[in-house]
Amino acid sequence: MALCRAAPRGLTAAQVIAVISVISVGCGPDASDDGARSGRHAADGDRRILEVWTPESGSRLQMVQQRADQFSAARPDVKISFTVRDFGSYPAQLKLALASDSAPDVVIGNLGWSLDGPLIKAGLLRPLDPWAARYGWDKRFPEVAQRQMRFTVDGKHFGRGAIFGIPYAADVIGWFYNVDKLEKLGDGVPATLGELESDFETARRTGEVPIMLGNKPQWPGLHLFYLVSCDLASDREINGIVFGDRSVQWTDPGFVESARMLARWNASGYIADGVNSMSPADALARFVRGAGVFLPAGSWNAAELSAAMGDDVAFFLMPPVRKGDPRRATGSVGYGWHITATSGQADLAAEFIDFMTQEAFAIQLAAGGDISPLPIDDAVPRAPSRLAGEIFAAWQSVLANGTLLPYLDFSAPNGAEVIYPTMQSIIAGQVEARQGLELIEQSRKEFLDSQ
Amino acid sequence: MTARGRRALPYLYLLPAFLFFVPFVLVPFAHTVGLSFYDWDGLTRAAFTGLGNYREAFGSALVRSAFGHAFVLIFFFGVLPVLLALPLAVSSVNASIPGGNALRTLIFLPQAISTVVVGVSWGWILALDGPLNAGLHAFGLDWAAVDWLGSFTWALPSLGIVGTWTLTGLCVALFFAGLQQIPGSLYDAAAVDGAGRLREFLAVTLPGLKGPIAVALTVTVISALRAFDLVFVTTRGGPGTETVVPGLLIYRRAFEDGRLGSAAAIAVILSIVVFAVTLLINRIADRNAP
Amino acid sequence: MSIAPRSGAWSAALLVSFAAITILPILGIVLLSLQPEQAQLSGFELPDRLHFENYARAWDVAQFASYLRSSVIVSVAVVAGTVVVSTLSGYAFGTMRFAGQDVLFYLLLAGLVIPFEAVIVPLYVELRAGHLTNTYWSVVLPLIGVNSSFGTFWMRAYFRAVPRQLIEAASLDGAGSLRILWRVLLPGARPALLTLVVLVFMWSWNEFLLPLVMLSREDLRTAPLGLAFFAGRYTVDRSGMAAAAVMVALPVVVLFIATHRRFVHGMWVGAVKQ
Repeated sequence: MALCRAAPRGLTAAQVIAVISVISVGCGPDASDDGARSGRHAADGDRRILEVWTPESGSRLQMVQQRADQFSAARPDVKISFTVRDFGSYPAQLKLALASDSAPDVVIGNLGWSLDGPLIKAGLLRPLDPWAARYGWDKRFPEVAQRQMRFTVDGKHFGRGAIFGIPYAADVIGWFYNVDKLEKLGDGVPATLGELESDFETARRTGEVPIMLGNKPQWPGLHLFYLVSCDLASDREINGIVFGDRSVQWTDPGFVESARMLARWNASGYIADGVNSMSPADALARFVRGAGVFLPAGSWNAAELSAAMGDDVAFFLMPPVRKGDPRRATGSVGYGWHITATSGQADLAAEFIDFMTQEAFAIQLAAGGDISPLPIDDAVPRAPSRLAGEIFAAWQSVLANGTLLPYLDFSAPNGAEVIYPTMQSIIAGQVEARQGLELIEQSRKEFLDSQ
Repeated sequence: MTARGRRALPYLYLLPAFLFFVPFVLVPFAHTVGLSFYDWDGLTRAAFTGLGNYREAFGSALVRSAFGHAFVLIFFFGVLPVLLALPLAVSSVNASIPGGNALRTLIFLPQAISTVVVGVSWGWILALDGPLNAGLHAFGLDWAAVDWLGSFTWALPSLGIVGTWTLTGLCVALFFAGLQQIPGSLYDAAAVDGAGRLREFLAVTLPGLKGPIAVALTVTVISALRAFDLVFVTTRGGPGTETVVPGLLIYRRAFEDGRLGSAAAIAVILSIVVFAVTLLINRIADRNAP
Repeated sequence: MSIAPRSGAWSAALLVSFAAITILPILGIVLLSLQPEQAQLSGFELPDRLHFENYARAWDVAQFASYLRSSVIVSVAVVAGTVVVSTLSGYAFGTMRFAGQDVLFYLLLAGLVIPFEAVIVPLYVELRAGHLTNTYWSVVLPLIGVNSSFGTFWMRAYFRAVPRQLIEAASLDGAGSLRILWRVLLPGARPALLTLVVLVFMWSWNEFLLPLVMLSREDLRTAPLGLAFFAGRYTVDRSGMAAAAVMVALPVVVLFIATHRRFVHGMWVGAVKQ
């Protein structure tokens, strides 16, 4: 109905109130038509402004901003303006910003269905194929990364179609450990899943906390699941869930085994007390202060850990089931740079994105202790700390072996409602593993059906 | 002023209030009802879905348990504070306690504190290594020192107790004011009849407090059925889904998951429950009014 | 008095112990806010010295100056708006007779029962369409709307209790309705107005859901929001978090304590008028 359209722009607040007062009951919602505007063109004196949104923090944010400064130095006619939001609030805040009339030009998204999917479906992000061809983005990244960059333009299928996001940094989930404490266990660094489990048992017996974990926000439990599913679930199972293959289900054997293992670890007393009311930041702080032998976490924590613990902390990827097998890791090529549909400076944005994703930046990241989706020549100067060196080596091996597995929560937009709480319940033994996974599969079915 | 003008005058006085109330409360509420029949992600076109959202809500174990949790909170936020406030108000209304006023103000204080502050503070108090458990350890009650807000069993009741702490003072204040209204003659008559304390309480005090009790229950029950702030700041619905309440579901579905139609349907169901319970409370109170 | 005097000792004990239970958590947080930053405490220990630097840290790191300023702007605006519109409509409902007054009054009263969660989603969509999100309007206007239900109810109760002769005498003297309100009725309404001001200020200051949704810009965020995000990010800095919590709660608590005698009296007066 014409009456139900959003109030046209340019009215004063009072007029809007008056108009709204007259709207009749039972109007359906209307789509915001903000997306159809001609591109905005911000300027600051003689300089053009490129608005960029990011959820990064800590040392990685610093490196991104430093690199952006280098871009401005080379292009004095351009100023880069960053808006930073914390990771938890970012999705909601970004959606609000993209739908407003102060939408940015460049945004960092999150691959897959957790964030990018809905945005692409709503037509808020631009397909990047023309620039990909021009700058060679479609050839720059290794195969494992390529798939995560693609989405069909209608937003229905992840893993194929147009290129939407260009990645710059990477993360991988693994085990940080307290070097002293592990030594005291007397068995050396575990080389298989079995050895890891026996380390847990020894730690528990000697009064240490085997696994320091803070699962209050509920997603860290899923990260623990990722570590186990690396070993126990097959490539087909994991990729099937992430990329929407209906012949694969959450109740497949690999996942059931993984979930059961976690529940067993918890029941055996391997996971820290108070895990469900502890935040990941708390868990990290305790680990730093000497509580816990192992800290399962993402590689982005490396800078903070090595700053606090120096050489007392080290890292390894999930040990394989069979000794000597190549290590598999769950991780991602991090977030991707996107150009918004409403930006009036798409070419400039593409130039910026290209600058931010060149090998030179990958080298800078490595020097800062971080990892990137571009394979780097070994001869390049590297890691400032032992920890960063270990992570870098682990990452390079994963890239070389092609054993990078994507995050399972890329597979749907509402992980918080079903996947995370159910996984927490499974770990805590509140629901039996297979039953819990059935709940998750049920919600996934509903999502896939709605596509 | 013309006769017409004089007739219109009261409405002019009402206009400012309604100018705020209608567009910012009434119309959005009507829209919520309308929105509940659609599927909308907040960004693209909406799709009409009839009773689809309601079917999903009634069929969803999560939505049902959210309302179940809200009713548990009704006990802690409403029933318990009323039960605690009655003896407190009754016993203190006549005795002249030095500083009684100050004490009653103190008891009311939790009402004045933002729920975020309350949530953050109690989050610390109930922590595994927080003061409550420290106290329990000090008394040798180690077995009782659990992870209150991380426990699948105790998280919801713990939040309930926080509500009791917050709302009892309000009930004391309401009952205190209400007690001052009960005519002394009724008590004299009861005394003449030889009624003991309990009889007096049941025959005179309680009926006389029907009004304030109804108000107290209404306010606290509405508090319990909403409870968004406290849950958001402490547990966000966890562990698992043990502390999910309707308000949290509405927020999450609308602003995080992009399911605005479904959020609206839950909001409508919540409103109906609130109306129904309020009506029920006041019906009962009216029926038994002295 | 109505009830026969009880043994003062029992009553005192009951009241004091309950007041103690109530105040204990508050005391705990205040003490925590004065502990050294790295302290990992469990109990109610007295700090070795008063670490006021926690407040400075919360102030700087969390930009509390900005949050507090936003809260003041919002609360003052809402109080001002609510008091004005409620006095006007309460006056009409309380002293005049006109067609449909019952229906209109109950309609307004429905605002007390409608849960805010039922309103927030379309409210957000409408305000976004009107480009009012991320402005103070998006919080102030709806809050005036919601609080005018209670405000009208409250002021109507007061005006109803005013002796009719007072109003009739004044109007016989030729005073218009506005004059009567301003000159005759308002001066005596101070206790009722004060109670309304305190309550509405309290509710506006403590409002969480509405600013959470409407204000995503950092420089507009109100104090409870600031606290929630600060506590979420800096979970390890417990004493800083406690200091921030105290700062958010302080203004309302101070206002409340300063006016509590008049406030309690006002509530009593209001309750009598029912």
